[in-house]
Amino acid sequence: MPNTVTDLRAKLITWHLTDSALPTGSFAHSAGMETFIQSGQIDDAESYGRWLATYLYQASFNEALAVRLGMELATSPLNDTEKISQLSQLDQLCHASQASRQIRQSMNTMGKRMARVVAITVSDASLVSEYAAGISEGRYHGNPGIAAGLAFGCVGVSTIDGVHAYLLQMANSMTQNAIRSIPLGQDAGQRTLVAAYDHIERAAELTMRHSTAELGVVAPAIEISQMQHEGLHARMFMS
Amino acid sequence: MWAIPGDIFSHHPPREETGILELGVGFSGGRSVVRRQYYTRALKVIRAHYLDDTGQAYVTIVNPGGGYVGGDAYRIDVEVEDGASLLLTDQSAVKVYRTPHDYVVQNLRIKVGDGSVLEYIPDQLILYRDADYRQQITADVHPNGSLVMSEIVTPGWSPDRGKFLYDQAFLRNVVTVDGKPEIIDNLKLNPTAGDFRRHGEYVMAGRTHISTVTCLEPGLTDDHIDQVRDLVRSHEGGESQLWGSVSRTNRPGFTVRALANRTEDLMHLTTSVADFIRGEFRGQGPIHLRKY
Repeated sequence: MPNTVTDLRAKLITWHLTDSALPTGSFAHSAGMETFIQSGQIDDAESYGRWLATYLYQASFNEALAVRLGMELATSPLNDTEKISQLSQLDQLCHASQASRQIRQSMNTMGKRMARVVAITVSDASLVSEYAAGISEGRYHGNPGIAAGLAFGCVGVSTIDGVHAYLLQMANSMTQNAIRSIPLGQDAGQRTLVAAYDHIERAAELTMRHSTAELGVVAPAIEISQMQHEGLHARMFMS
Repeated sequence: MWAIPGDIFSHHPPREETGILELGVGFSGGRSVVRRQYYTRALKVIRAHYLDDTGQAYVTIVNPGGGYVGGDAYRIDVEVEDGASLLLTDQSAVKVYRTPHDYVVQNLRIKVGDGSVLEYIPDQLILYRDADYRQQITADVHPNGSLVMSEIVTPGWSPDRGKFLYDQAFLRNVVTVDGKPEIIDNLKLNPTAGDFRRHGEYVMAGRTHISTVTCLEPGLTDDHIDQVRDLVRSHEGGESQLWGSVSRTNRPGFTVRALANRTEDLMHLTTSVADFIRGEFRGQGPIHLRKY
């Protein structure tokens, strides 16, 4: 059982790593939302809120599931060598599951930065420093969900808390992007975020239920918008 | 740690297959020939035909049973040996009928050798009300091998004219090169499930049909991707509101995904994409599938 000191530390690390201002570069990636903004399908808080709900639903098969699997890896009874082998496989599975080139690249750059921050934050965990070093050396592709999951697992965060926190961070970062680009008022953005609480709760439930067979399941319309983003003429976002 | 649970793409405990097909195509005497074939029960093949002068074998899979029902299990193994070329299709759409409390599984294992070509372009998969169909394709492709494979999922009509009422289409494709998974394409469509319906706008964009084309082609460049993107654009819109796109895979290759309300338009897009690759890389003319 974690004592109060380590429990507090686990909470601080969770809040730190899921701060939407964490320097992972999420402000530069709209995950295809910009395609719908340009087509006019997303043009206010209400239409953004509907997209956000599906974005979180899709995350239950992707980033949020990567968080959960990263946590399970970090807390598994495997020895270090076995863990590194499993980490390599998980990193490859997540990378291969992204059909959109820009999404793959965004995951890799955000994964690299997240792993670097995580290695500073949880400096005593060898698996975390292995992931950060391995991404820099090109041994892993990089995935921010895996990086965060390893950190949460190493410091004893419960799986569901880690998944909830990560989903909230995704919603929060994306809402900041929506506020800037649609644009929305700050209050409208915050109301949309509050309305997304239910979707975060549901996405987390699904994340806990999915098996590895469901890793990478796509929401086709979101995926198509992510692919089409490559062909937009003027872009604010890199994805 | 990441193994797939045993009760998703197979029955638990596993059942005797309803149909098995094993096919090996090799290059011999200037053309691709069927070297090995074994089939039993509900699957068979029509002997190879040659549609052009490139020596590519054209093989058609036949399902004499006429359709799949709950509890069925199918296994298809296809190997295209070094230097050989195979165009593989089926005689007609696979129809999956209602499967109350049971599901259908189909597992395809594909091996594409050095300098080999496999084009796997089946007819659409039609899923009727309550059908639960799970399919896993594992394709092991040589770094110098070419693969084009497609899938179209179509909802069958139900007696009360309700559409899009099947339970599940779970289609997972894993393409490995040198033993490493390079493309994992994972579609899980549950049109009657609450979450799926609630997110309809951004899952199926209000459409009922979906198609995928997966391509690995060693000589493919970004310029080819742009051409495929233009090709997809040229098919967009129309009566069936086709909407789709393409993106480059990690290795030279791409995934095309499209949504629409009619099978014909998605099939037209699929063959156009396959034709582009055939023409560009192999100097072959368009596919004219001969259906019997």
